Amino acid sequence: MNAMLLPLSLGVVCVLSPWLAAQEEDDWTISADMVYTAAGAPIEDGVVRVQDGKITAVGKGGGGSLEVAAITPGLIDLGVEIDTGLYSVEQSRESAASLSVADALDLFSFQWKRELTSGVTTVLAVPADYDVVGGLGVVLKTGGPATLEARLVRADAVLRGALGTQPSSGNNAPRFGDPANFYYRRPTTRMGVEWVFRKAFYDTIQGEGVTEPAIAADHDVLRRVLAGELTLSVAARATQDVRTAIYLKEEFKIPHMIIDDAVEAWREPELLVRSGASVVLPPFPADGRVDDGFVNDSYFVPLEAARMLHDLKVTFALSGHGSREVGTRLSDQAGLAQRGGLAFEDALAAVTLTPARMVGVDQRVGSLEVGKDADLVLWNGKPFEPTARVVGVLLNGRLVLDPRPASR
Amino acid sequence: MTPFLTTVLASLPVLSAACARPADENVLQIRARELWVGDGQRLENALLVVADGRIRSVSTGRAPDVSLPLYEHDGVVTAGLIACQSESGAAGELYDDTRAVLAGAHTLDVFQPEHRDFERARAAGITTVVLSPGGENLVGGIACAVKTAGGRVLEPRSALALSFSGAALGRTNSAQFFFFGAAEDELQGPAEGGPEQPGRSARGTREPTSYSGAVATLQRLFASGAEPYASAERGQLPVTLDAWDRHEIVRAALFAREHGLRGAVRGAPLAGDPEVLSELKKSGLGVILGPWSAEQTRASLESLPRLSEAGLPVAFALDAPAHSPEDLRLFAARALSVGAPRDAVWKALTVDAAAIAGVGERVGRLAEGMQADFVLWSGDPLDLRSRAQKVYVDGVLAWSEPRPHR
Repeated sequence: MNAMLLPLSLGVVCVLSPWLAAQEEDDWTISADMVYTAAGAPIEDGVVRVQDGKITAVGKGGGGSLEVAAITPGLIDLGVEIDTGLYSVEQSRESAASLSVADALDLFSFQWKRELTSGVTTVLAVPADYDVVGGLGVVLKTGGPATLEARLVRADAVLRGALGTQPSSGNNAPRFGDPANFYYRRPTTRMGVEWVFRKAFYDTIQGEGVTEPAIAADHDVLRRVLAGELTLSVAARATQDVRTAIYLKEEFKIPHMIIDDAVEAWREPELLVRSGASVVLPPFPADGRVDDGFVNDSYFVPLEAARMLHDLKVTFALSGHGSREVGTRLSDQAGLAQRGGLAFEDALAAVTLTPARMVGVDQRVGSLEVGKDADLVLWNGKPFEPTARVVGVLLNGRLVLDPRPASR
Repeated sequence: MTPFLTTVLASLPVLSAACARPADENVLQIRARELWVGDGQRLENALLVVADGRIRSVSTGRAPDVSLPLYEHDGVVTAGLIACQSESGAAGELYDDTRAVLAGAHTLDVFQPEHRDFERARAAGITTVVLSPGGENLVGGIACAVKTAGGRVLEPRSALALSFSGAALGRTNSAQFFFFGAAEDELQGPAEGGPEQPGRSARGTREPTSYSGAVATLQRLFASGAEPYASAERGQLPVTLDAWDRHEIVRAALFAREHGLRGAVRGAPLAGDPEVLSELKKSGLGVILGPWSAEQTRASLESLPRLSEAGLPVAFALDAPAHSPEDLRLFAARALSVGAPRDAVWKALTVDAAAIAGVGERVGRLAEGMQADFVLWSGDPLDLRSRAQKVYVDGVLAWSEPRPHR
């Protein structure tokens, strides 16, 4: 049968190819057995129409130019950890609030494409966590021309901070025989990290009239955080670091905080609820253990963590940390969270609309709704199931991963 | 003064009127089997006339002046080659570890014309080099363009050197005692042919250490309105922007565009990448490629044909003495090997290089009025088997091939 259909379908392709080429740019009608919009009930035998980079229709129907098993919105990862390492964060200061990761991105990195082809279309990029206050983060698309202009969704989306052991790693007291450098400084411990964090905000509150431009610029950014105009994203893995983040939030009355890489946030349910902070979970490790990497310690996160946060009504998102290892794609995390008891719709929300809201880009991305960016993931089965995979991706209406077998 | 000399001196104006030139003028006539003008024209049996260190005429079919000596060259005569970036005679002297910004530094201060690096450059047919600060400093100072003979400074302030390279970030040559490299960094590898990337603590002696810190620092410097940034912003002083990884090139191009800078990106192995190229085109910058290493990939070699096709001026960095001056022609040959047009490659060695160095009106071509820097090659200079047999700088024989042993 396939042998009979092949010449026929080739003929059709030849006749239609000019039309297909024109359509390739920005005009698609995609039908699916199931359309998961992340903004309401799923649509059986649904269709999504895409024109000029935007979604123009979502509803029931068939006969699209592409037919797949399922469609979801493009996935959103707030913990993608794609950066230029130590070049992404200023090491001459422990607090560099006004520097933006926008000036330190490598948009040519293969890692963006790896995310894009695994269904992640929007990410939050932040400096690496080697400063207590590392600088501003930006929300980006994972594809398109390799310029910030082309990919930026939101500049100054968050201010990045970090607690725990990583920001102090490498700092030490002067030692004989070593060349002098600015790693002879605070912080060298968790307590020191917290001290620097507190000092940054304290100095801001006290620091009206500072004239040194770099410091004045830092204070402006921190002031926006205190005023609730800018969300503070803080990396905090261990239970004690999660607690510290919440105490600092309360001490300085920081309105909007995301606790990122929050391995053990589930251990502090009451504090989390009380604080109103939202959470980004790390990718679920196979054995539940996350090694610290800098001190001989490890933290634990069960598959049930996502369901527990959901039951507490804590706003949370899942993350894949850049899909560096097998089974750590963002879509895998949504599957693992379901294994821990989270409902499908909630798992979908945790990789689409919820993270979009957390960084204030839900007007553009996060769900399949008319007027939003045409970022779509096409699946060959039920999304996030181990047997299903991403077969197609549209980014801003462009087919960047083609589900048609002929294109493979 | 003796009566005899007085007579001779008195008769000089009469003589010059008769011969249409002063009798003591230093005139040189060379008839070459082939002469490359530099604009793509190749003349056969051409006559090159040089006077007072400048080119008086280039012609074919014209008879030489029989009253003057004529040198017959059975080979190719071209303009001298130009190396756009080099440390000739000043290896290891063109940067400073202790601070990131060296706005007051001037490579002319370490120009040492008698150094044998310049003799080696002459032997390779190079008549002009740009002594350019390395990319290890965020602001490296002011480059100068000098002749390889005669100690002549062609352009004392040829460019302001800025660096967008990771090498400029927090770098020191001090011993490394920690290494906190992200695994992913290693996976991606260092920039192709780019500077070595130091570990964390080795970067820990100098700010800025990050790309964002570097951009913020440069923005502050340019906003200050101080020299030399103001001259660069007005377009009076060209810039060279060290950048190796593709994202560094794009960052440099955007910065140049924002501040209206003219000049060239230096290093840039993958400048021919379509996405990089489109940003470079918008910036109006040229590209100084290399120096190329033995490990250079085909994609990076192909940058030259792509850049020249897009109409961007391209030249080669030499980085002598780390590289032999002969490498300049080797780079050209490698570009040819991946399909670069001969004219584009030749321009990268001469005309484009001169334009990028800001001396395009004075050297790089064999045309009337240009400075008489030229090379007598044994054959096609883009063929590595050909040798420079005689090299003239400012009309003076600066190097001559030793007689072969027999």
